[in-house]
Amino acid sequence: MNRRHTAIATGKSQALIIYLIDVSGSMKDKFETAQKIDYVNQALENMLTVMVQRSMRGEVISPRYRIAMAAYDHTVTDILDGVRDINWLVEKGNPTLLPSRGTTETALAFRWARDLLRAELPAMKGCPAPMICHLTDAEFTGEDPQPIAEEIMAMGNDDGAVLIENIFMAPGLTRDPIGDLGRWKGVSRDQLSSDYGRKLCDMSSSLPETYARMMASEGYALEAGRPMLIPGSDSNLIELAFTLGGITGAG
Amino acid sequence: MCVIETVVEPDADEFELRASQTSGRNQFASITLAVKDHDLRVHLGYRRCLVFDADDRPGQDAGVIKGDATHAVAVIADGVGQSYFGNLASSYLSEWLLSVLWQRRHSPPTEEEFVVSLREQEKVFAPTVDDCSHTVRSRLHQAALDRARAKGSQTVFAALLLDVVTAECHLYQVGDVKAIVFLEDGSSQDVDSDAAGRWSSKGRTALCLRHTKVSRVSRIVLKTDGASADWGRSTNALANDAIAFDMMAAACAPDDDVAVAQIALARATVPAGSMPSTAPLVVRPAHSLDEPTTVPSAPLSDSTEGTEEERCELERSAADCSEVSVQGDYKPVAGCEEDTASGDEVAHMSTQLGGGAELGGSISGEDAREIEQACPHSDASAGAATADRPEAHSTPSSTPEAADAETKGEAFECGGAPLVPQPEANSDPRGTGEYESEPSRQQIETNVRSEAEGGEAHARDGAAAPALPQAHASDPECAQERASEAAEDLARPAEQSEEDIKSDAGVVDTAAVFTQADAKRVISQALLGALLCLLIWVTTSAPGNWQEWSGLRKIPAAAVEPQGKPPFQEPRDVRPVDTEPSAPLPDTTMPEGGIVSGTEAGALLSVRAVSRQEWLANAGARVSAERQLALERMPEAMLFDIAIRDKRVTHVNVTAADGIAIDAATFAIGDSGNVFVAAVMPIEERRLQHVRINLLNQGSTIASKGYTLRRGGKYRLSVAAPTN
Repeated sequence: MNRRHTAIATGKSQALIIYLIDVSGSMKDKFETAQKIDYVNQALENMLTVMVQRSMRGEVISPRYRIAMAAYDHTVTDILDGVRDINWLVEKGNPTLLPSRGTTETALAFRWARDLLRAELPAMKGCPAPMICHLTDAEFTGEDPQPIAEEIMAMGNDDGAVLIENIFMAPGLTRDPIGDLGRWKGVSRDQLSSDYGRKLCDMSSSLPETYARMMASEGYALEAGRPMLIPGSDSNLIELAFTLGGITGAG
Repeated sequence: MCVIETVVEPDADEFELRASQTSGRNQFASITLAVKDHDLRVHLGYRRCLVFDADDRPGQDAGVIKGDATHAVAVIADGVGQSYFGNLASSYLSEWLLSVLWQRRHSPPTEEEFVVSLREQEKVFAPTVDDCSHTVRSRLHQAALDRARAKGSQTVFAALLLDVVTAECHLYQVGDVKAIVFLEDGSSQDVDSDAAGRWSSKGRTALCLRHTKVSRVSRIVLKTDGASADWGRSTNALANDAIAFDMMAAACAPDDDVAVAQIALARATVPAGSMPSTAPLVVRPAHSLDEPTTVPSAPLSDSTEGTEEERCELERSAADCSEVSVQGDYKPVAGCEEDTASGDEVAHMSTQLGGGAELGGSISGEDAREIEQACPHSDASAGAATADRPEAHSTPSSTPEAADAETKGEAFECGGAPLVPQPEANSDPRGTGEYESEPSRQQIETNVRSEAEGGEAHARDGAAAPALPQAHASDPECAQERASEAAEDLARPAEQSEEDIKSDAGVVDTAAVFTQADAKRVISQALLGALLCLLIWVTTSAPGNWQEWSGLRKIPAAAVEPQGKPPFQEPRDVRPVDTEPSAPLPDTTMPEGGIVSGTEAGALLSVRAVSRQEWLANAGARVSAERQLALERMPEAMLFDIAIRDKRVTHVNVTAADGIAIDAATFAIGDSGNVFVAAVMPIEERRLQHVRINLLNQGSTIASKGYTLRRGGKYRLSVAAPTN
């Protein structure tokens, strides 16, 4: 499979981005000065704003992006009721997620995404490879999601394999502090402090060269080949993580 | 809906071409100025991205050209789509660049000067963006707009200033607008600047200005990144015509705006005079160049260019016929009267430029107008000036001494290299003592066509000298048939018979072109010419070809080869000679392969409409993949298969008009081949197609003839050169 990931998102070759957001009970926990879910909502809005701006051509918003979004706990809720293009979101506004009291059935969310991809991929020739942006703050419950994630990463189109980015919104994912975000190259497996961190690492795609360049243009120094696993230990990292999630094929 | 706006300065011999960001059509216009020993040929093409068509939003690119006989300035700008309304920046800056470079044409700005001025303009432009209002669809949209506004309205550009006399060019670039420079020695070079460069209303971007000085320029192409990679790379400048642009736009506009400009210098191969221009010009009273450039407020709207009725439009693509109107007051030419006979509201004007410049005409009606400009040369050259002058060569060779004197590398000076002081306007840069700041003769030939509702109008094969006798007037049968078709005729070659002209009397007021004295003179000369041509035809072509023309005999392939290759001798009479009827022949008379045999002494060719598949099958190997792709997408087209059967013919000029536009192209005929396939033109259904074929020998017309074709018909046409 071609893994160059060079396709550019245009009105004719739209990028598909699938967000899987953990809204289980722990998302009500305090994070910096507010609840975790508040930061998630803010990061989502910022990310969508950037997407809209990237899609703007004068007064026209070119439908470069197609977005699907699922909030999950022990069930999966299709937030957008299917795959929507960016213009739909501009009209409807960005969604606001609310925390639940459920558990973290991550496998259910990945299965939902897998099924969605099976339906979408046949029509995505020439488009950027789809990306899944998964955010969670705790270990999964129930079924192990890794086999499904690996199944998803084996899927793809002519641009490359489906990419999975994992954002772990909790402290202590890495042994050492991140430090200067502008110089941070990304995590490496040996820096991870827990088995769950390493599992998430194995469930994450390697950062393509083209994406690394795009991130560089946004002021980040992520290194190509590093796992697309972002420790969401502070709001800046979450911002970085969602920036990476929306960087797909931007021209 | 306005397309390329063309302004001709009647007093200053200046012209301007300006693309409209608000038009949803293919825009293409060209102008050829024939000056003392140069032909200055410019074109401007524009097509906004199709994504803007749905809601009729302005395109992000901008293109303007201004010039006269001594200088030309072209600017192509590409508004950054993800900035805040990049169309504002591209529109504003292109106008400013045009203005400042024109003002500084005798002393081009240095890189340092230019950077300072660009930075100043960022500040001047900033309030326009700050005050810009826009429709907000949601909070998310507002947030995205605010984020974009913080970056400012941004554009990239390429601007060139060309000294037509010295063939020196100053090129200024910011961002990724590409320039391709062709030198007189035939070499070419891409000139790219740092793609990260931006000009922004916020002024916080890096300009990364590149200033390049190039000497011995023969042609320069500017294009935005929306244009195809191949555009402008052909060694034949004439290949970049309206049809090619239409095809390129069809392929590229779905993804991006397309803006291209080309300025070509060619050594005139014949004395300056009548240059058959393909420029469909629109004339309106020119604004004073001394006045500050008016920058339209954002977002751009039609109002910046006048009302729908006031705007002038010109379209060279038959598929994109549109409304035409004329702005301003015009001084009527004597004898030019408002046409009321047809009720089709067609106006016909004649405009003279240069010495004794006169802009005149009359307007009748609002919906359909036709304007023709003619810039007759002096009386001394009138005899030599015909419509059949060859098009300029794209990459002409300079003098051998000049070609040897300077290499390609020496021709370029980039970056902050010192600039060579420019000569004064009235100087003689070549030291020949021949240069005149005002061209002794120049012609700007224009044709404008309106989108009449099934209406009639005149598209004249402009450069034709009406005084020349037209041989086909001698063919009563042809003339009669044409007269019957005239009522539905949408375009007409200029060289027409008296009967043809008369037949249109109820449609177009020909008095705008011909006075009564002219008409008498034309009639008498036509009769004389007809007699002469009839004599020539009877004594040379007719005996060997009559059966062929009449369809009685099919010529085997072996018989089509010329039986001899006589060295060319200048014919005694080089006036256009029409010897064959132009009426369509029955299909059964079409020889296989469309090849028509020639006589020993005659120059013959065949032109026929063929299917797209057939044309591609025959010519596919000779056209680029991009062109083939565009052809396949072309919904309607008339394709001409041309075969040349006379070694004396070095070039063939084909001028086609369909009532909306005129397109012309000149093709070189290789030494080895005597079969040539060329010419594609979109044709709308039920329109007539007028075609004029000019056979040339090294710049001299040896034969010419016009035809009226119907779409879907099969024709066999011929042009026979007179023998000595």
